[in-house]
Amino acid sequence: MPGGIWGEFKNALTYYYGDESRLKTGWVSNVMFEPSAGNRIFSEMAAAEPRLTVLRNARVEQVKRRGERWLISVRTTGGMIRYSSPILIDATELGDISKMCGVKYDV
Amino acid sequence: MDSRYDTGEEIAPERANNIIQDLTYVAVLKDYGREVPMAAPEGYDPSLFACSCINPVCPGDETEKARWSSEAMLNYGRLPNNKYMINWPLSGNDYYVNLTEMGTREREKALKDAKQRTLPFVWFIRNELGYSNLAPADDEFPTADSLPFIPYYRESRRIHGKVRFTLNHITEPYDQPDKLYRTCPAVGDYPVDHHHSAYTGPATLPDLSFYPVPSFGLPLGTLIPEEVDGLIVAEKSISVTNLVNGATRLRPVVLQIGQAAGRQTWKELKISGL
Repeated sequence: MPGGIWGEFKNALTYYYGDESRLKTGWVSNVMFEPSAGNRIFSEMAAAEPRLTVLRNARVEQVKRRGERWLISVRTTGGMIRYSSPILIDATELGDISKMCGVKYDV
Repeated sequence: MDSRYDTGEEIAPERANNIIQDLTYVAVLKDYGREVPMAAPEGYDPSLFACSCINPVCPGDETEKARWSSEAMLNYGRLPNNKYMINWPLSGNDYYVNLTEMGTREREKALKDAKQRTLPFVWFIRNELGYSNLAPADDEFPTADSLPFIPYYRESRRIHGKVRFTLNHITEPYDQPDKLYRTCPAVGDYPVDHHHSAYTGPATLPDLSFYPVPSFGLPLGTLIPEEVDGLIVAEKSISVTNLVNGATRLRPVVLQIGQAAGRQTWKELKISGL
C-alpha cells in the first residue's frame, strides 16, 4: 500500500527509473531499487526541509534528563555537539536511545 | 519471543524466550559483463550454502531443500541496472546474532562475523554456480568492502508502550476490548514473516512463515512509551508483540511510523507552545 511518506518515496523512485514497471525487477518485492537511488531521494527530501539538519557519521553518546528537557551528546567527526530538547524521537535500528532514556522493553 | 499466555496469541510459543529474528548482512552485486576478480574469503565452507538452490553441490539426500534454480535465486533480489541484492533466506546469508545488549566494540566484532556469512555466499555464487561476472557493486556503498554500512536487522528491542499491539488486534480488530483500530496513523498488509532458519540454539521455535493477516492499521500508542515522557519511538522498536514485529518490520510500515513520529512530535510541541 503506497501510504504516506512511503507512497511519496515510491513515486520518486518511479520518476527516477521512468516507469513503475521498471521497479519490478525481482520477486521479493514489487519495489526494487538501487540503494544509491534511495539515498539520493531521501537526501533530496531532507535537503528540501529548511529547518532540518542532517548529521552524517555521527553517534548519540549520551542522553540525560534535566527537568522537562533531554540533554543529548552527539559525537561527530568535527567533535561533540550538545543539544537540548523537550522531545526526542528514537529512530535507531535497535532502540538504543530508548534504552538510554530508561524505557522498559522486551527482546 | 513472548509467551502466548502473556499476549493471548494462539500461535505464539508456550514459553517466552530471548530469541530474535535472524539478521542479514545484505550485499549488492553488480553484473560487470565479464569475469571480474574477487578475493577468496577466509574459511570458505561451501557446505553451508550447498542447498541454497538447485545445483550439483547439494547432496542427493537433501535435494528437496533446494527449491529454486540459481537464476531464480538471483532474480529474487534483482535490482535495476543489472544489480542483485543478496538477501537469500534458504541456506543463504541469514545470520543469527542478538546485538541489543552488546557494547559498540562487541557489536562491530559481531557484524564482522555476520559479513563472514555473506562474502562466502557471494563466493559460492561465483565459484560453485559459475557467476564470476558478479562481484560487490563498486558504485553503491562508499565502504572498504563495498558492503552496506549496516545489516538488515529484522528485530529490535520492543518498548513497553501506551498500548501493546498483538496479532489479535490484527486478525480480529473489532472484537477486542480496546478499540485500537480507531487510532492508526500507519497501515500495513504484509503477513507475519519470521526468519529463524539461521538460529541453531536449543529453543524450539514455532513455524511462523507467512502466517496470513488482513490489512491492518498500526495504533499510535505503540510509538509512545508507557512510563517515559518526551520520547517517541519509531523504526522497529515500537510496542508490538514479537509475532507482530514479523509484519510491522517491513519498510513501507516503518517509513510511515517515522512519519507518524514526526507528526506527533510537531503536535506535542504545538500543544505545549514550544
